Amino acid sequence: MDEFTLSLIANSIQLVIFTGLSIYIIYNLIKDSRGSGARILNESMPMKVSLISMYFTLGLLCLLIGNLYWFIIINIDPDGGMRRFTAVDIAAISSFLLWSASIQNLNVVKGKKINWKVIIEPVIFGLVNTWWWIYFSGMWGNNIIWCIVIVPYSGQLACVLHATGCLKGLRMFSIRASLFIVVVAMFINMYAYNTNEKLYYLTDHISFAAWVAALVFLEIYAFRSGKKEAYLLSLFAHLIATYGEFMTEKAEYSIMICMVTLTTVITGFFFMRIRKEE
Amino acid sequence: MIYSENIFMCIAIPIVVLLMFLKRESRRFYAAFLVGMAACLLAAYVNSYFMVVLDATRIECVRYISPIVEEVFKIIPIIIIMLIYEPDDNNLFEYAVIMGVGFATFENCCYIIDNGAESLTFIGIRGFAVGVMHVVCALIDAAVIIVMRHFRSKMILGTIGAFSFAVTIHAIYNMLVSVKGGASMIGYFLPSSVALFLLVIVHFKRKFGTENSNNSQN
Repeated sequence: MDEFTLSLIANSIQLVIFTGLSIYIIYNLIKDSRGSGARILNESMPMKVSLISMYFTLGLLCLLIGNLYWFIIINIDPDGGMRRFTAVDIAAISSFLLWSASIQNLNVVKGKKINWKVIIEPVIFGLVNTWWWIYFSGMWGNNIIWCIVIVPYSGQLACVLHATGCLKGLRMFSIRASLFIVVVAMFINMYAYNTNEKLYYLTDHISFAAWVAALVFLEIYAFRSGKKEAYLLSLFAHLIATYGEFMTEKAEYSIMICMVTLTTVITGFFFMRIRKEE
Repeated sequence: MIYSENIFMCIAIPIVVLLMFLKRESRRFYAAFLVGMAACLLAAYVNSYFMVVLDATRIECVRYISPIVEEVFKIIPIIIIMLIYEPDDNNLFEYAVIMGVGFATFENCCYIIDNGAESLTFIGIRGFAVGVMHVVCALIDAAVIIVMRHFRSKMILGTIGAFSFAVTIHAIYNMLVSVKGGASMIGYFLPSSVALFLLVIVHFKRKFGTENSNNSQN
C-alpha cells in the first residue's frame, strides 16, 4: 500500500471517529448544559456550563475541523510543498492547549502544589524531543510552538495519573524505561550525526522504535487500567503521534499515521465504554 | 495589480463623513464596518509580505497563508473592542458581524475590480460564499469570546480556540474553491452550511433550555 492510500484510509477513519464523538458530545452539551461527553471530566463544577466541558468540546471541535482540513489537503494537494505551518498545526495545537487547560481544572489536581518529582520526566522528554527535531529539521518556530504544547500537557497529565493512580509498578516502569531509552538514543544520535554514521543510523532506529513502543504501552495500559481518567493517556498518545505525523516522512510517517489512527480508535472506544458505564 | 488603498479611500471617505452626522450607537456600527474594511486592507499587505518572504505562489498563498493572516486581522479588532469599550454581549456580537461584513465587502470590491463583473451568476455565488464565510468566521470568534469572557482569566484559551476554529474553516473554504469542479461547489456551500449548523445548535439549545426550565418548575 502506498503512502497516499494509507494516509487517505487513516484520515478517513480518524474523521469518522471524531465526527461521531463531536456529534455525541455536542448533543449532550445542548441537551444538558452541565453534561457533554466531557461529563467524565466534570466533577460537580459549580458553574452552569462547566469550564472543563467548554474547553474539552472546543478542543475536540478544533481537532475535528483540523482533521477535515488535512483530509482535504491530501486529496487536493498531495504533493504540496508549502506546508511549513498551516491551519492544521494551529487546530491541533489549540485543541491540545484547550485539553491541557481542561486537565488543569480537574478536581484531582486543582489547587494542589506542583509535584516536581512527577513532572520532571515528561518535561525532560518534551524538551529533548523538541531539541532533537529542531536539530534535524531546522524548523525552529514550528518545533518550539509544539514544545509549548507538549511539555505542559505531559506534565499535567503525569500529575493527574499520579493522583488517580492509573499507572503503577511495572506499567509505570516500562513507560519510564521506554522514554529513557528514547532520550538517551536521541542524545547519542545527535552526537553521532557528524562523527559516526553507523551509530547514527542505529540510534535513529532505536529512538524511533522506543518512541513507538512508549506510545503502544501508553495505549495498552490506558485501556487496561479501567479508570476513567486513563482516557487522558490515549489523548496524550494521540498528541505525540500527531506531532510525529507532522514531522516525519516516508516509512516513519506511515508508522506514525497508523499510530494516530490507533489512538483515535482507542479514544473512541474509551468514550463508548464511559457511555455504557453512565 | 490593483491599488487597494485607493479603493479603500474611495469607499471609506463617505462613511467617515457620515460618521459625523450620526448618533453614538449608529456611529459605532458604521465605525465597525470601516474597521472591518481596514482589517482587510492590512491583511492584504501582510499576505503579500509573507508571499514574498516564504517564496510562495499565489495559489499557495490563498491555500496556506491568507486564512491565518486574515483571521488574525479579523479577531484583533474584536478583542480590542471588547477590552477597551467593554460592550455588552449583544453589542459585541453585532460589532463582530458588522466587521465581518466590512471585511467581506472590501475584499469583494477588490476582487471585482481585479477580475471583472461580467458574470452575474459567478459574482452572485462569490457574494453568497465569501460574504457569508467572513461573517461566519467573525461570528464564531465573537460567540466563543462572549461565552469565555465570563470566565475572566481563562478567556485567552477560549480566544485561541475560536481563532483556530475560524482559521481552519476559512482554510477549508479557500482550499476547496482553489480547485475547479465539484470541490469548489462544495466550498461555495460550506459557509452557508456552517451558518445553518450554528442556527440549528442555537435552536436546539433554546428548545432544550425551555424543556429543562419547565421540568425544574414542575
